[in-house]
Amino acid sequence: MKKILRVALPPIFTAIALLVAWEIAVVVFKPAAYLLPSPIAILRAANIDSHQLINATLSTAMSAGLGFVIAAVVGMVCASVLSQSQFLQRGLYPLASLFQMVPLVAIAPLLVIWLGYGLSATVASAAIVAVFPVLANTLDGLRSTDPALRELFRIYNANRFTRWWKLELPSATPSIVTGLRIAAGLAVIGTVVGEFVSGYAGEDAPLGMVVLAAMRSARTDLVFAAVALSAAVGFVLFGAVSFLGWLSLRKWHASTLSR
Amino acid sequence: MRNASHGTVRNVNLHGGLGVHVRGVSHIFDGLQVIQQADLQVEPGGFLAIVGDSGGGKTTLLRLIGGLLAPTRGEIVFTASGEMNAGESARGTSSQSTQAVAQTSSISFCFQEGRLLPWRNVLDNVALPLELNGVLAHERRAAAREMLAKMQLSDSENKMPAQLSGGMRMRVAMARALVTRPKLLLLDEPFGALDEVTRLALDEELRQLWLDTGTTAILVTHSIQEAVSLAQQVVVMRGKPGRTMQSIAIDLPKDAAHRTNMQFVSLCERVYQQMTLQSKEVARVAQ
Ligand SMILES: Nc1ncnc2c1ncn2[C@@H]1O[C@H](COP(=O)(O)OP(=O)(O)OP(=O)(O)O)[C@@H](O)[C@H]1O
Ligand SMILES: [Mg+2]
Repeated sequence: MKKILRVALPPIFTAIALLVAWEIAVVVFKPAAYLLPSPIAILRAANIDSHQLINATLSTAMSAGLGFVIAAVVGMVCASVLSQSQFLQRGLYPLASLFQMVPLVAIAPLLVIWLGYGLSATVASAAIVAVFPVLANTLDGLRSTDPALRELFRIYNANRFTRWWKLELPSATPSIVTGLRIAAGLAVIGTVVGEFVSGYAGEDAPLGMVVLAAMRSARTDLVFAAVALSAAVGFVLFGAVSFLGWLSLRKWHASTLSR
Repeated sequence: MRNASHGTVRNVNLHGGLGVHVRGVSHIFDGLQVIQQADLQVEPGGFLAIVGDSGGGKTTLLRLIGGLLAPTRGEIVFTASGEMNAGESARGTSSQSTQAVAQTSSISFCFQEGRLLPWRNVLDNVALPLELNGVLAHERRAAAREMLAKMQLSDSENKMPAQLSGGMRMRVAMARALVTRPKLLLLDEPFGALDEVTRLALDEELRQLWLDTGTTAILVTHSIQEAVSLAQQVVVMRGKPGRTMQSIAIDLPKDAAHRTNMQFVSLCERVYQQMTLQSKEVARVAQ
């Protein structure tokens, strides 16, 4: 408990200090409200539009969560397949890295063309940005399994699948967790970008659409509120992944052992 | 016969040892000759120690015997107790049969680093070889517990490897090597990283386990004292590529106090002489 406080308190204090400074700056310099609303004004706006914002947040969280899960599964499965074959690795991995270079904003319209407006396109967009770090980190982890332990499994005549399941995968867990943590943040970014392109207005318009609509009507306070909420979605996803990672590593990995 | 000369009662019939006969084995790693014409012989249930220069090919020889590598030249023949010369053999050209022997898991390895899986507790580490052989969970755990009890590790069965001292880690590794009831135990500098006191204690435990199980043991070590005090014969490996020298028979009473014995000292002296021969002489003395 003490340790949690020691870790959590400094950033919380820093954040509060920044918000207070921001509030004071707005009060002192009085910028136009459409340029920079004060934190309190943003809160007030969020409160008024709370119903819409909650729906939007849930919708975005849903896309990001689904996209993340798909990216996690696809990334780990692909990495596992690639790790078993030098041939596939040489053939496919460079392509996968190249794929990573294609800007998402440019693909998003294609996703809309293929999947239509709505959830599928945003989920796909989230999954596409999030998949590569999972793939790369998992592959890296699987390949850097201690050769001495590989030899041990060879001595016991373990087959490929057993070796993967009982040796390579557990030993890659720290890398996989790292990849998943990066992917958690990226999934939210991918979702919001997807929503810009493929989102829909109405009752459960996602945060990306809220940002666009608020921007068009010069509701900067609402833009800020929506941005803060999408950051919160990312934060929660990241926190959940980190927690699960900590759970799976706490017993043995150096990063979690107190000593 | 051995029982009489060593004054120790040893139940060789428990699960029997595997005799090993290495004949004229050479090994070349991508053009680099590491072992030249190595010869050695251990009878079923025997204990042989290999000492020698660093980089002299001792680990390689052990891996050849264990079937992890196929010899470039020469052959390695295994004999089961009671059926001399009728065992399985491996020639330079076909490594199939060496592999087959390892596959029956009658051969176990024990390495210096222990090689425990850091994400498994002690019990599941010891049970690993059985698990990979398809033994059911409760059976393999029971077998692992029995081994752990033998090594006085019962209290630690739920600990993770990172929580163990170096000596405990090695004992877990030994328990894992023995849990399959091997007929041949190959030990590669198992206690090399330990302090002297722990090492002496583990030497004693190893000797006791060898006596109890009836397994054949081949130990690679850097310590002449360890080799002489544990083994029935010591083979020195010298030079690059490594050659085996005439094996030195150790006929000592195997009791705990023997390390101060004059006979012990003079045997160590003989091993030491072989280890410090000039390279010219090595070529002459090597068989
Ligand atoms: N897989 C390999 N591929 C190529 N060369 C190897 C390989 N394994 C060992 N060697 C080389 O073979 C030689 C003998 O190595 P080996 O490990 O058998 O020596 P060793 O007697 O066990 O040494 P040490 O006492 O230091 O453990 C060394 O020169 C080493 O570099
Ligand atoms: Mg070695």
